[in-house]
Amino acid sequence: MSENPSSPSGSTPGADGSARAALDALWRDNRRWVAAVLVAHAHVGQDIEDLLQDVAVAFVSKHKQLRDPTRVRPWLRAIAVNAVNATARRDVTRRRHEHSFPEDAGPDLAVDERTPARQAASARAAHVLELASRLHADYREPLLLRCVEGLSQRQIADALGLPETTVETRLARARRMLRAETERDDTPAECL
Amino acid sequence: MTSTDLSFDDDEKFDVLIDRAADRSATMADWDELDRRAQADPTVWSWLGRAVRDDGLLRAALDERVAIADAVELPESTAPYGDIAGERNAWRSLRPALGWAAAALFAVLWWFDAQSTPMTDPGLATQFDAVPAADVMSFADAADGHSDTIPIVSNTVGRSGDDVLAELPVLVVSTHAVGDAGQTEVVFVRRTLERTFVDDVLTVAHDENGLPQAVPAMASSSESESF
Repeated sequence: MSENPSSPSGSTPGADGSARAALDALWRDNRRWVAAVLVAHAHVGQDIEDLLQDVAVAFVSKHKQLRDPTRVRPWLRAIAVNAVNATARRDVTRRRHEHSFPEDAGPDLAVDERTPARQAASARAAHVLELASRLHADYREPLLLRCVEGLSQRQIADALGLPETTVETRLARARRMLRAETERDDTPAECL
Repeated sequence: MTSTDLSFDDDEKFDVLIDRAADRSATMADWDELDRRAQADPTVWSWLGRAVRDDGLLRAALDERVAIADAVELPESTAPYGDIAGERNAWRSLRPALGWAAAALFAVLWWFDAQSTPMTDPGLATQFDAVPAADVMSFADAADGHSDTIPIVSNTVGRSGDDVLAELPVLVVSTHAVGDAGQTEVVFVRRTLERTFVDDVLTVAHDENGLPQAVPAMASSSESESF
């Protein structure tokens, strides 16, 4: 992740022919942590890819509203959070209409070809992510942003609009709470 | 940031130290502090081990979850998605001018009329000697060929300074025999040649998204822009 938030090359989208390329580069440089924001805020059943498509569309249609390229992270995060909330509202409306016709998910026919050890490790990792998802959003979001590749505490503070010391405190508390949750899972039932 | 930056109570200091170690961002001073604490309480290493393990698992799970982002590219154009409101606004801004566009279209039809193309029903021509002949042309046909070049005059009829110059011969659009009494239904356009004075002359252009857009027309000279 480049320290310059405007683009990996440091260029800013302009009005010339390279503007589109710069916009694409800016998107590619930021889309992974944007996905992490979506994971942190998404409601049950919301599809991260669909949400990310919504963010991409908003990114293209509204990028001219971004007057200060150094503010791209908080701006993108706001778009991502808005996308989650807007989709959640749409889903509520749709579910009301589809209440009489619940979807039949059907059997899951996907075949997992990984070794049992890999499957167990993956399941364990997914479980830790689920435990992290139960943390309060104030702790969950910085923790997930810290775990997505390449985002520094300063960049997280920038995206969240918080002081860096606050982010560090929240990260420390988030990890402590997560440890407490995983420790509870590791403790045999008869000891509880 | 070094351990000297810590300004938390002791529990929070410990959490931050563990966090930095798990996060691979601990400084030598942080490691020295952890070592000092571990000498007094060896469970510190157990805490650290759990933190590193959780961090690794969380990173692996999150990495798997957000990998889909690598496949999501920006759309080429957002016109079908995000610019619907803009399209509506463009049409809304053009709506007042569309009436004048229709009037201008009739003027174009009149111009075509002047080319003296034959009437569709030759038998009726004698009854309408005074009526210039015209091809029957649908609005869509005419618009297809000319809508981009029809000047739109942003003004309203009847304003002070407007003049009715002449009533032109009616334009026959269609003729149709009705009943047994020998009557014929004639659909025609009554045309009035008017003059008005305007500040702005606009024409319809399209922006890069293909949306209609009112743009100033070239300033007209007195003769060249008559149509």
